[in-house]
Amino acid sequence: MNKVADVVFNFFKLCNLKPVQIRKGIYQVQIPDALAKELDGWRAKGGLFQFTFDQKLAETYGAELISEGGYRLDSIIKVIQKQARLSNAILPHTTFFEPTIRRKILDRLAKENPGYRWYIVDYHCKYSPYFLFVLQLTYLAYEKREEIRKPLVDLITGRVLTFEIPLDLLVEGEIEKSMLLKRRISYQQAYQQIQLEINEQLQYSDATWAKQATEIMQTERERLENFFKDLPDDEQKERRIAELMERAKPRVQIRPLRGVLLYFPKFLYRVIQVGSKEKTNRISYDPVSNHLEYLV
Amino acid sequence: MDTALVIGQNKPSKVKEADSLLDPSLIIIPLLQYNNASLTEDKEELFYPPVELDNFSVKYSLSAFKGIIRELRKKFFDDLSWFRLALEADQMSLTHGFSELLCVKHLEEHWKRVGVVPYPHQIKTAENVLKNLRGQAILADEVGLGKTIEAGMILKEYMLRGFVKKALILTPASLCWQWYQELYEKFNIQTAIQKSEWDWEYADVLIASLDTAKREPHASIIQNIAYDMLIIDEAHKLKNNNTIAWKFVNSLQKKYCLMLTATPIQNDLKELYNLITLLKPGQLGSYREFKKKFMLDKRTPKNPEKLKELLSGVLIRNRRGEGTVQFTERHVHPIIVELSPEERKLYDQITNFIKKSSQLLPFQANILPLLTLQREVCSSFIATAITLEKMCQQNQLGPESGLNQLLQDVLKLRVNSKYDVTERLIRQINDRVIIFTEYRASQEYIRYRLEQVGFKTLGFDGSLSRGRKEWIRYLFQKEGGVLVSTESGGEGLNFQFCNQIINYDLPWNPMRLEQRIGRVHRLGQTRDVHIYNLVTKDTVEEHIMYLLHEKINMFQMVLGELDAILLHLNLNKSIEAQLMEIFLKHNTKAEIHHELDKLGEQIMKGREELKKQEWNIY
Repeated sequence: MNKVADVVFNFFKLCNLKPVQIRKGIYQVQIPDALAKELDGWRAKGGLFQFTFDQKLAETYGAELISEGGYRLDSIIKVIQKQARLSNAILPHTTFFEPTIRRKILDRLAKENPGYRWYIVDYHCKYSPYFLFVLQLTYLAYEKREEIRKPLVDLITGRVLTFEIPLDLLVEGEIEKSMLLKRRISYQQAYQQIQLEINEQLQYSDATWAKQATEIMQTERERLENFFKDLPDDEQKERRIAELMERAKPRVQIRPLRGVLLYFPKFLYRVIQVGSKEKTNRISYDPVSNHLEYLV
Repeated sequence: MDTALVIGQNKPSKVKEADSLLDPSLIIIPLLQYNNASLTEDKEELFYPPVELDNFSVKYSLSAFKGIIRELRKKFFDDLSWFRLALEADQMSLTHGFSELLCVKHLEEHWKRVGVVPYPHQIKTAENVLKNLRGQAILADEVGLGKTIEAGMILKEYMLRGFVKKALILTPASLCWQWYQELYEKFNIQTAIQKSEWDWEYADVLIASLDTAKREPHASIIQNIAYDMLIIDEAHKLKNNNTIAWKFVNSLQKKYCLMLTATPIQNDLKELYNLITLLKPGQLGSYREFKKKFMLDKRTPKNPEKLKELLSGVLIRNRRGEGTVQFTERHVHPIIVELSPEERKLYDQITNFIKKSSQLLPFQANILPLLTLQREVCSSFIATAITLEKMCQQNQLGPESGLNQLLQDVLKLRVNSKYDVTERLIRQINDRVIIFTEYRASQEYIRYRLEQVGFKTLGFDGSLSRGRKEWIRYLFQKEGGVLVSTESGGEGLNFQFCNQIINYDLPWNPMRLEQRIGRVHRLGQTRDVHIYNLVTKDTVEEHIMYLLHEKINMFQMVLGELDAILLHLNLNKSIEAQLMEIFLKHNTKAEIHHELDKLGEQIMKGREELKKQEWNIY
């Protein structure tokens, strides 16, 4: 119930509305016409809306019950889902403690290149663009199951990162151009990278649901073939088979619901390698994926 | 995969100049080439061509992606707080198989408002159709168990899950309104009733008469539409595969299909085979196989257990009793009304006039005016006066018939014993009451008299528009009082919030009486129902009461049972005509009762036969 209440209150907050608790557990809010139309269709008009999350209170005081699966929550969810198709955010470099990164890099360089000493000459920080896709995966056969995946694509390297990004650390806004590393792949390419990654994940996922559906579909198909065996009506047979396939064929539909253009910090270091001879290297470190890269 | 990905173009997209700090090899991303022709369209959404994996195919939406890119180009960035909230909303709106019916939760509040209580057997049936029967089923519950509710739940569930967008409901013409109303009131499903040939393509959920749909030009239009769901009410009308209706339904494109009938087989197992073949061809094999495996003769199934098993994959039948619906009690109160001497004299005069006139030439071919007069004389003298006046104006009978004198006598009459009893009864009941009468004149008279003594009354008749009827129903529910209704006025509307009915006059057709009672005694009625039948002593009405109450025990029959019996009996003459014949031919009470006994026995025999017809295979 807390989850439902959180969503509802956050929704009203973002609509600049302040629900007032008029009795313990019963809230009231003045809904403007525009929002009422969004929630209940074009004929709806605004007004005082009393609601509760408790069934008993709803029955006693006649306030509208907002509960999971209920009409009101569904209508609120639909309005919310229309928002934020696209957002942008930054993971500030201050989230990371640079001296720790520096030590980490030096340790790693020393480990990977025994016999050399490494010194950091200078460093600066730039921001690298990423795109977070919120994908809805719909598994369809006789039944339907949905899930959300949030893969992230590095818009410079095209790498797909599948770990969860802590949304609370993100800050809204854009980065000054001079601080920004240039995007090197198109969004279309990014989407394709995601497709390759998801296809691979799905290939190795549990496909019991699809196997079961295929089995039932084959039995039904055999029945149809058998039935139409002695009948001349090929058109009818094909129609019925097409209907069966549409009803039963296991498939996954994937839709990007929303996206976020993210800017993650990249620490760029100039380091000196001291050994038999001295050499200067440039290194980039991505603290989000813990990825170290030698730059040419 | 070594070519460049281009969407909606044939040349590779332009990749921006790389930052010189980075290794250029990193930007070589394997790309695919598509052209527009290879894209697939599904319900107005554009997808990339599907990728076939080992066990299933995967396809990615292009439309949704383009939507995001459009916003990106315009730099329409939304607040991050909205994004966080939207993400939670996305998670909450996910569906997780058919483990739980979404519509029950979704409609919970709505059902509370409109007073709908889904019964466990209805929920179970809906779940069974969704999970096990995979959207193709014959809903064959016994009458009165709410097949329409079950179908509505299944339709709503599929709509909520995005499986069904375009649906067609085919019903007998007389039930179109009822479907429209039930789907809107109980399931919040906006439908349209087919009126023109444009409606077929225009409306998402359309209700139409099967008889209209099967005719040209409609049939050709419908055959070209791919329906997500097809619902057929009174599906037993499709039991014969040689009919146009059967062939028409068979030619429709339908992903899911529900057929509703209380009698999937009536006389022949082939009827069941035809229905199932329409729904799921091949489920019972070819007819030759079916006959060989499952039929001893057309009425005797062979291997019933195996047949039962096969049928359970397409047919659901709920029966009355535990686990389904427990209706509240019906209490029938016959109230005998004694006519005053003036009324009695006039009644006898009119009855004699009818008997004499029936032998006259104008009425030998068409007995309807006399039939009406005989029925009206039991209802009210006001209604009788109107018919007598019409007969006078038509001047079919000569002055010697005494018609004018009869009319004058009726108009002079000032007492009305039946009304007096009614008024006393209403005071005694002291609750919402529905008074049913067959005649508009009686309706207006009752309302006038009741209003005169301070009762708040509402009138309900067939001339009112749908909206007006709804409004009156709402007023009656909210404010109570007395609703005086004609039969046609009550059709299609339910008054479960009221449990008191007065039958001011008795219709001669028991079906009409059942429809009156059915307005209040149905699913959703929480109190016992009281039915007061006003019967004028020593009149035709008393004989009618004798037949309905004592002989066929009509008031204890379940809703729809009588309909099924009369359909089964397939009588040559209507019940009204048979009754009229009895009343005209016989004079003494004993003779009339003897004839009514015969009619009653015929009906009861039909009931027994129907019970025997209860096939033990589903």
